[in-house]
Amino acid sequence: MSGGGDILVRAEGLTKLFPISRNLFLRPTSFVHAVEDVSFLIKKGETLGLVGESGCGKTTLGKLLVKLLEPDSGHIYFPVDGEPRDVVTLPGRDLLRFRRQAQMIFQDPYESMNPRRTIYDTVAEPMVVQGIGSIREREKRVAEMLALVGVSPPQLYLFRYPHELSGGQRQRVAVARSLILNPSLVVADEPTSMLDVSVRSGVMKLMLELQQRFNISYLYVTHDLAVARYMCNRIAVMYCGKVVEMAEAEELLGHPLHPYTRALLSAAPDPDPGYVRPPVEIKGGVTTPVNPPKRCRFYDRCPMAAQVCEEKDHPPLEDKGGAHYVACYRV
Amino acid sequence: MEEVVLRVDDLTMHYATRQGWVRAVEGVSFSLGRGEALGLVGESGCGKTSVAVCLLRALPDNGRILKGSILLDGTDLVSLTEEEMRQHRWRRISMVFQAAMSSLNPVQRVGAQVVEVIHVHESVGLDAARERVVQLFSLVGLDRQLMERYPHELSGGMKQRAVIAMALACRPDVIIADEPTTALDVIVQHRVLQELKQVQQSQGTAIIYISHDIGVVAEVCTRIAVMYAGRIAEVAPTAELLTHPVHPYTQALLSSFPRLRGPKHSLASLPGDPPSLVAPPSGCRFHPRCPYATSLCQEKDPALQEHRPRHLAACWHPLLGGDEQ
Repeated sequence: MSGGGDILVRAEGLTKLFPISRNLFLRPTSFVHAVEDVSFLIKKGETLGLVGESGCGKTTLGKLLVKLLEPDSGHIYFPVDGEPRDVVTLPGRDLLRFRRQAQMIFQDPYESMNPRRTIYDTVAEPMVVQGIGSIREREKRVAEMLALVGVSPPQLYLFRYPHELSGGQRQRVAVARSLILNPSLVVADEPTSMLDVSVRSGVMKLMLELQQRFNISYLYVTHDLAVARYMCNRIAVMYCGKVVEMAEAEELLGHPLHPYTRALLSAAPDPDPGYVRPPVEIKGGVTTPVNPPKRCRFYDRCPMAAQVCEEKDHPPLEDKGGAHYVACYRV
Repeated sequence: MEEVVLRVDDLTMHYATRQGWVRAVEGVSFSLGRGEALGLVGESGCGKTSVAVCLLRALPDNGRILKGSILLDGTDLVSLTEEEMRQHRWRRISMVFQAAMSSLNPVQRVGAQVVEVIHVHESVGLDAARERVVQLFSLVGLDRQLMERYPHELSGGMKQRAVIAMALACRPDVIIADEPTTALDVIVQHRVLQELKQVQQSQGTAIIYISHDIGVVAEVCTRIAVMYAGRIAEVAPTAELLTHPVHPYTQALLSSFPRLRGPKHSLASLPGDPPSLVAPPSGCRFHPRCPYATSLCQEKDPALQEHRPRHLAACWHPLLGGDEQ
């Protein structure tokens, strides 16, 4: 793909189907094609944004990448102890090593923490699971991490419970927990969408700062294109389980090629009084990809659909020049 | 200025909790012109929904309106009895809630629910009511066949439209829309906003649009009021507020909002968290987070004052330099 920078993780042909109905013999008959044949790579210290509407499969893809879900097919190449291994087929012991390197931040800071465990317990948990450090070392490390994410003074917060913290502080604690093992990859699933505007930008800035400092790669899942522009080097747009467009952030937002990306962009609200919005050219609503027919997934809603889009299978993701990838027959 | 349909004056509402009184709305005043769209913006817990609750007099048991008046076409809603208020709800002032899914009855057909609203509040026959619902559905862009469906058969955007149709059913003067599109995806949100704007313009219904998202509010409203910790910090026409914010809070809010277009500016963030409304800070409630705060701000609460034409702000040190943006 684009040149420069070492590749950290390479995903190839990732597919995840969820069965939703079964026949008499409990054999699944129909599937939601949550993620289908998705390939991408993330370089070291880079942020890849994953943008799309709810139900497009972006969270599923994030979970596949850190192996919280097993893919039905495809490969994820990620360096474990220095050499690239296929994470999908990694045996148990090596999987623990992989988890040390790949962490996740969840959307809801109220749901992602055990309300009956202290902040210390929450942040130290990855160290406990991995069997790292003595109690004293863990305590020191947790205090360090809390200071780093701006929950300070740490001594004041170590033995508090999540309900005593504000939403912004909780999300900072979640960041501390995800970074305590010095991972090289963090999947952040809408980490700021539940926070208020004035607090949200603080958490976003913190994540950028820590990325610079520790050379972390992020897969940043969001529905908000403006947030993606601010956080990401490259952006991938997902629709119904497929990546339909992927490019450098400014290139994608400045010159969107896929009709879906264009519709998303022109529908996004913008507090700029001088901005004249182009018409949003899209039909109907989001469909769930249950046993999708063999044609372009966007066919029903596309303003420029033609015969070829219906006759052929979903178009492949192709480079249209300058590492700008688009999956569309009509571009 | 145009004819005023709703005037809120010095409205103060507190909730009784075990921690003490939550001062959710404190001395809020604003007016709404006939057919105007006013945005009410603020972060969670700033009291914007509580204002809506007061306007509809739909207070929970622990809520009390302590002072102030809400004049709807000259009638003070605060002093009405519950029975009198019932005459006003839906017919004069109605509401679109955030969770469309939970404001529809799951076991009744969508069309019938809107018919019921008309039938209960006006002396209109069922046939006439049905006829009006057909018109309402086409007004909000819903197919009339959907009237026979149950809520679970509709998508989120369709349900939100049905709720808007319901709010419009008795041709009210004022609709309060509380985060009506927050749960929707951008493309659907865009459509619902267009629908709402079109309804407001064609029916001459005034709208109070409540949201945390200043971008969404700017889309629909001609004037915006910014709330902070139970008080109104700033009110101004949309373009004026977006380009020349006078209150430091509004300015911080605007510059912490990532933009999709134009040069990528660095995001501002405010220190700390929004204050607790049980024991709000003394003086100006924003002073602990304000970069311009002085001892005056700690001691005295600023009143809402006109700093530019039609541009009001409650601040001792308004940003009037003209080059702050």
